[in-house]
Amino acid sequence: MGSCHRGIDGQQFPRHEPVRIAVVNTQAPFVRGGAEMLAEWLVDHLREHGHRTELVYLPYRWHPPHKLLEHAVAARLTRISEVDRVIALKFPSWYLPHDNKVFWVLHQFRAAYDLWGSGFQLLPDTPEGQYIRRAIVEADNRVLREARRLYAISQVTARRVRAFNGVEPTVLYPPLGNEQAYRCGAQGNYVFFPSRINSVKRQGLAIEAMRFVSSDIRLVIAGDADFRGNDFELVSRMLTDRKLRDRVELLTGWLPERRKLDLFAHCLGVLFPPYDEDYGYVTLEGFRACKPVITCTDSGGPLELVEHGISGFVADPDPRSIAEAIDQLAADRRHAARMGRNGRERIRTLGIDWDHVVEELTT
Amino acid sequence: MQDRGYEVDAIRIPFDPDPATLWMQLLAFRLTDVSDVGELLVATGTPSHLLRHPRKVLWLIEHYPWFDDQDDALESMRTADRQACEEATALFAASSALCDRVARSSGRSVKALSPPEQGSWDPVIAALTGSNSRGTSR
Repeated sequence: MGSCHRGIDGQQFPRHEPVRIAVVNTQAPFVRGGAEMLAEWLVDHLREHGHRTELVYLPYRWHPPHKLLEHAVAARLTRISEVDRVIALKFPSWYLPHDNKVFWVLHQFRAAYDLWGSGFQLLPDTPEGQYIRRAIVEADNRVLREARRLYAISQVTARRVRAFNGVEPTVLYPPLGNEQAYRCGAQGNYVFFPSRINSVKRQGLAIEAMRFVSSDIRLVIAGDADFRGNDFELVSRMLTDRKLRDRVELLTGWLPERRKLDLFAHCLGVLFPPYDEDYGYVTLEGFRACKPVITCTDSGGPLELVEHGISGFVADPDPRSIAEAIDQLAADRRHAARMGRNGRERIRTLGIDWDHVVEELTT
Repeated sequence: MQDRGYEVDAIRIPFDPDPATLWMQLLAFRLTDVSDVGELLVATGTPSHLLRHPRKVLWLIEHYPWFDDQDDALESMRTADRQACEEATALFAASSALCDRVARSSGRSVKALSPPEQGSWDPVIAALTGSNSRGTSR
């Protein structure tokens, strides 16, 4: 066994010595979204800063619900060697034992927390569901205290951890991995809504809003469906039923990067109205492309970035209110462009950059 | 495999060859449920070959090289290994020496299948997927 030299409490790692870091993420195989990309970008940037870094995965599934506990136990029984520091990102990856752990909480298993009792409940409200929920909360309570340093990706996430688990994470906003790729192009005649298609992202609300838009703006929705035949079908059916097909374009499947960048570069604005999002890269992407972002009063993370009337609009989670915001972009395109530039500046003001993230997570 | 139209995801689970915690780690692999993920699981190492899947093909690149003969851990590992091999729908090993070793320990028939240093991967992929046809995008 190699000797595992470890940092000493409260001290920085000596700068000349490469630190071996394992970024541990949770993996639902074949599911790819913001969290998966963030983990890869983090690894790239740690390496760029000279840290020897590996990305490891703990696969997990949440259905049937008792599998959650089995995977939590599995994470606890897993060991990792030859590593000076573990950076864990999600439930249940932070259960992995190591004596130098830093958590950057992307999100918790929300079904056991804020989504319990909401319309988006993944855990059944049965004796078994209640038991699983309590087990997760109690295990998290214990394990979150093992972190040498505790960060969360947004105030929304930090607030939840504080409220439910009684520990206080520092907010550390994740930057985009490929910021330079985003271009500011000429304004087109559509608002762009890229996201996985599911009920929490609320593509349905966006489509509904298009019934009330009076300008000639179209909506482009792009995203893979989490569960084909469920949310996806609902969204497609809305388009037939409401005869909105000429107002709404639905691009499904994983969007090629270049196509996505083009859609960002040439939209009039970005529409991102999810329910209580943890952070929402989409906002950042929109800002990087100099586009204003329309979000909702209950959208969570995006509200930390979007300032109403300055870098976008904060609408009510209501089709008419969203439609009004879209019409406002169309009515004053110069203001829309100005708000987009303000958004880009906002990223800088908030200090969202990788040097800062790497500094925090490695000291 | 991706070049040939298969949809593939790689899973990298950490492992520490520490005899003191070996049995728990083996249990962790058993508790990790990927049984309904994809149509085929290819396990390339020990103890990732303990993951359960209805269609599990082993292509072993190593065979728990970490323990010496006196190690108690070796016995736990052997038992787990036999189980993993028994569950596999097909067994391959990356060299003929390894092939002999796995065949002996598992009592099963194992085929040698070397990763091509140059040339086509077609024979490897055909062997692992059990077909000569190409994958489909889904």
